[in-house]
Amino acid sequence: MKGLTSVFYRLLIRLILLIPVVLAVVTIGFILIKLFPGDPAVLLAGEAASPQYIERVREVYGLDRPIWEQYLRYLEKVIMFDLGYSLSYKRPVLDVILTRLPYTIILAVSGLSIGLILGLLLGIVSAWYRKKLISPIISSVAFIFYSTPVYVLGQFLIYYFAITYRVFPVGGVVTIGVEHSNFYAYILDVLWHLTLPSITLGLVFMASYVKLTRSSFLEVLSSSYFLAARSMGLRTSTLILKHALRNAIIPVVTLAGVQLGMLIGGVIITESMFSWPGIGQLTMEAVSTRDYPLLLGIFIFTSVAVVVINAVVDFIYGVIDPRIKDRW
Amino acid sequence: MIRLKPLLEVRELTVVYKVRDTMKYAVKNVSFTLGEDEVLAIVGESGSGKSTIALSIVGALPENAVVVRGRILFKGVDLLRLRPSERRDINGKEISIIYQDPIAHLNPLRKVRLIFKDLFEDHGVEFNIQKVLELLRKLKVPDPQRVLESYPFQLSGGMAQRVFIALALVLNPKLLIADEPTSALDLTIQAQVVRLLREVRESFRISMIIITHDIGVATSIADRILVMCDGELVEEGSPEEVLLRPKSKYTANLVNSTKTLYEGVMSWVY
Amino acid sequence: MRWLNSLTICVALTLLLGIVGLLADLIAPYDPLNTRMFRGLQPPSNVNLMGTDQLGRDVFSWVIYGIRTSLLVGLSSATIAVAIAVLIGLLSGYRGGIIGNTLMRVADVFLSIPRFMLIIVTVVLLSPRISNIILVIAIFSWPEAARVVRSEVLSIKEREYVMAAKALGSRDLDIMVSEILPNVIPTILSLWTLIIADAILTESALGFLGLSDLNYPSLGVMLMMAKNAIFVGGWWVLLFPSIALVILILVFNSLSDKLIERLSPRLG
Repeated sequence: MKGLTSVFYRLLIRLILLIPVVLAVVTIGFILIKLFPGDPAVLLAGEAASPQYIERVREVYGLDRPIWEQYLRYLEKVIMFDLGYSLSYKRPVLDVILTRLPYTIILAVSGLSIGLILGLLLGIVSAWYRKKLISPIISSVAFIFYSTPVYVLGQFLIYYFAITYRVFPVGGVVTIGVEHSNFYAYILDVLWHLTLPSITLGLVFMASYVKLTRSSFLEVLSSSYFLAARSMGLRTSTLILKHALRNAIIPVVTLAGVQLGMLIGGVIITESMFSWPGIGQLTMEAVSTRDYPLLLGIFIFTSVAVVVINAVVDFIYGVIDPRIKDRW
Repeated sequence: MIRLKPLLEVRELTVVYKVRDTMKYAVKNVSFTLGEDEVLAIVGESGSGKSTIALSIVGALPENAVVVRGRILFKGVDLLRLRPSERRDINGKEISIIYQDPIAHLNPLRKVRLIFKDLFEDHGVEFNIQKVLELLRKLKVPDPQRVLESYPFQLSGGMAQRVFIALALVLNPKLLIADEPTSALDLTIQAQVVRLLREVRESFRISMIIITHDIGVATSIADRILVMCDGELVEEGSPEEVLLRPKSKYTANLVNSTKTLYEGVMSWVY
Repeated sequence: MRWLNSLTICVALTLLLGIVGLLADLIAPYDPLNTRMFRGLQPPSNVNLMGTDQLGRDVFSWVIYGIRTSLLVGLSSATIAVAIAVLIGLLSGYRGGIIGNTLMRVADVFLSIPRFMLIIVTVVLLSPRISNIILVIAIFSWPEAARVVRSEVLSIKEREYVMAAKALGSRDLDIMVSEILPNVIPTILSLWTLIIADAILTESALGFLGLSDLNYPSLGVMLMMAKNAIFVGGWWVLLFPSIALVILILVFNSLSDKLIERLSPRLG
């Protein structure tokens, strides 16, 4: 029980330390609003709004008050989770974001998982057989994938698998106009639509994981403790599974955790390409409809989410690796 | 002196390292024997090839090393001709090795108890935790229960060395090789380890090969000393012979350069 | 990466791309921005080497000018970003102090934010002119580079010759320039090429999303056209810009790796 409370305590401290960073991020959001060319009231109310509405917006947001007041009001709103009102959706921004969030999460997690698994496997193979031909081949292939932008790779996949050979759908999350007989049919349909986008993401991520896994694994293989373990006559399976893998995986998993955070804001292109209704696509919509409140709300939301996720990942890393436990 | 059939017989061992495009001889035509319950010390400076001999015996040579000639006969079987799986059966069970810097050689992320478990299970022996605890107590490890539940990085240098030795002895091997067992430790701990090794020898009556650059350590523990220089065996004899009546110039220089004569020599003389 | 083994191949390719970019006006047969609707979506032929897109634009010319735009944006933003990063990295690494630490905190905040989203938001706010794009990419690239420079400086700071210079009473500025800077150069060069690759990626991504400067043909824009073109069989709209883009990015990524390998005296 003692261990558990100390863990909780540490997490709390971590989260508390986040506050200045979150504050900084939120402030940047405020600065961005201030930097908009033009009258902020007009921006917030929408260009097509009536003068009376604009005046009301000005009042509500306190735009005629001194900067400090505006800033404080802004902070107040953000703390109350009020991110404004979306012009195009006619709903609170936070609502809109939260509706779309699950889709992005599903895509991000699947893409990352595929990339992680492929990357780990290939990286380990590449390291274990480093003398054979397969190793440089894997490295070269991974390098090419790494240098290929997501919208190039995705389009090729679409071209082959969705158009030429109609194996997968071209986009969207469910087949339009189809009534699903039961829940499972629905899930299957979604998964079918999920395949291409997550494979695309996965392939792009795989590349960085291959490189990292390979070097991490090689480092472990050439370490003193591995040598000693070998000298003890341990079986190959024991050596790899219990003595090498656990140690080698740590940097890779850390990277994955950090990337997961970045992904929440960053799958914009993939979502555009595959018409996947997540936050990325929402961003593009906001851009094209000039829905500034929504855009800003997305920015604040995702930035704060990334910061929090990074802190949590950092913390989990501390729990997994017993060496770091004593740091706090 | 009647010699029984030797436990270990090294014949004309020649090992070469491939560095860039050149080849360097690490061990040149070295031959020696080791009997049961006999302690051999191989002494030499860095690069003399002494560690290479040890690594060759357990098959832990680095990738760029090649054994070009020779045989290593253990109980009559040539280790160099064995399949990897057969070698694995022997390593840890019949022949064990402990290295310099014990903490670096223990997996930082694996609890000590689990490392012992791996050792037992991979050699087809049921995990006997009592035996481990007893052995640790014998090696003067305080609170062996806690040590088993710790991670290697939590142990001190001397403690880790004892754990390492325990790992090497727990399956009752016939031969223990110690590659620079004292080099990474503080001076006071070094003396402790030397004493420990002596006690191990007394209690377990196993054969040992001690690799060291420290003549004092060698003389305090060995029955016979081998002196290596540039891959060649230049001297062989008892501690008394090597110290007081060295046959080669190199050995004489080596002995003279040793400023301090350790407790070992004193205890031997007196 | 093994087969791009030679540093010379990389450098040669880079120079080739550079020449293409510089001489774009001479090499390209047509004005890339010229749309001719009645020649829409023509497959590769003698008239149009790489075919045309839906708006009748010559793909070959577009690719040539696209390479030039990518190089322009890449080189400019990378240079600016690296300049800032070196300045801040050196200062905060060597001098530290309040200024140094605050700057790094600022950099950290930048790093926590999803970069691409921020770039999009900013480009949308300011108008998508090429100068803005270059600046925005530079502003969001320096923090990570600054961090790397700073940690390099921190480790170099502890070396003997720096200690010696300090003991001899050299001024801080002199030490920074003559002792530390030369040793950070391999890292700086490698970072520079890495940022170029990344900037090219970002620039074409912006093009793909329709956020680029319309006067400067972007490879990303052609890829955006490809999104629809492939549905009606226009594979050439996808293939050629893709190859050009991948080669561009690959070359600079390779250069970055090679530079670290060859120039860094400690490693390897």
